[in-house]
Amino acid sequence: MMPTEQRVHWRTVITLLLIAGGLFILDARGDLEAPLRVVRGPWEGILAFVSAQTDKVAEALQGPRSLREAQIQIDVLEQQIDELERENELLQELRGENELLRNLYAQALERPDIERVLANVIARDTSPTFRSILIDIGTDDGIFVGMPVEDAQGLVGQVFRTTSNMSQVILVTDNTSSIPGRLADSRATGIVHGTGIGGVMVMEWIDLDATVTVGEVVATSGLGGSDSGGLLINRFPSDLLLGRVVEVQRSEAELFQSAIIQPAADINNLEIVFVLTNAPVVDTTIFEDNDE
Amino acid sequence: MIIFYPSLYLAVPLFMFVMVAQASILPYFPLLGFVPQAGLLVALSWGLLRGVEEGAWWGFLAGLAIDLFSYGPFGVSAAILVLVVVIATYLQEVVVTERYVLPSLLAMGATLFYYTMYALMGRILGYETVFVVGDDLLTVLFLHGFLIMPVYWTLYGIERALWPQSVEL
Repeated sequence: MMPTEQRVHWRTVITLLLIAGGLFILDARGDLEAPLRVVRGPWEGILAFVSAQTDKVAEALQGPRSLREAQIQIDVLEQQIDELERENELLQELRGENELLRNLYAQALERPDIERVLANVIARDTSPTFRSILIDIGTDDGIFVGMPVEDAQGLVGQVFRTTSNMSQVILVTDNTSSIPGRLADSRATGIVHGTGIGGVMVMEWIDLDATVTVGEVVATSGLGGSDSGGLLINRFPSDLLLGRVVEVQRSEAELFQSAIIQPAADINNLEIVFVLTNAPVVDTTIFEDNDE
Repeated sequence: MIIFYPSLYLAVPLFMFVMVAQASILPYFPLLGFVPQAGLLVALSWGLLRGVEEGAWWGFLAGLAIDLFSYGPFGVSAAILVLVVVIATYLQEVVVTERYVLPSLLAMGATLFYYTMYALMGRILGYETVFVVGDDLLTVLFLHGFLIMPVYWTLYGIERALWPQSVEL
């Protein structure tokens, strides 16, 4: 137990805060990029292994839906030979993975012009407010900052940072994410922002004249430009599925309407994703030159 | 002069383990829809057990570990966690050291401060972070208030095993 009369050496606290501030400044200047890449690199294997093992345990725990069913299942399993149990588990794992890969392959067939690299999700963002994932491929596999990432259902996010064997992907539901989108039926365009909490997105700046309906599909418009936070340049090709409209927010008093979008990708249960390595985008830099 | 504590030899591997769990295990098992902030709970618990300065060190190391696997700006979590743990621990020392209710209350207060500071710092630095409010906030406060007890008592056991205290009769 700490004696209450003990003096606190505030110098330690202030020094630690100053060190943290110094690290932040170095990071903002880009001076920490190389050393942090070295530190992060070796963790890829550990995170991938832990994530794979946890995934197996989580799947096993999600199996039985009730205690009664679980008991029956246990009784049946107890009668089986250990070797068959292991084989069964392995086959089930392979079947799930096979199904996932078939979906991804079907997705890839729809856009054969886009080259894709397969990646496993090995970790999620450790901070309480940011939404990102770590995948097990990096610059050695031809992955670079800005590349779009999707799963079998739709767009997942964009590569934000890379090491030689690992990449960090900002999810479409993160607040920093800002993607030019187009509604499938009304053809109206807007900007799709992440909201951070709740796992939904908001499409803003939709023309008030456009008739937006609940259930309408939203896809990327293919337009380039920089995001609102200035962190990344948008490099999304057109017609990548973003999600569906679940609510329309329209007011005659405002110049634009907005819509709540449910992401098509299963953001909370990502296992395997595609990184789009040669996504074609509309070149808008000519307008930037004219501005100057 | 900065005081270096032997417990930091424990803190470094512990926080690397905690952050691997935070990144690759806990997201598979969300509680009430939330992934608890294990780094905050561990650093806070140690601070409550060992005092302001050790708490500050542990908060600093926990923050660095969080920043290592987060895309947020490096160093921000470290600064926030130092502040959170120092304030919570200082409050305990000023008010009264009590092991059964106070850790939960301080964990709730620290969580509120942590999330608010994180969102605030994010906004200041241009990350457009959101403030956790309403039911979500109550849930995460309750969750951390509950989860700090097993963390606190586990660390209490470790502390007593590694640094037994002499008793004068």
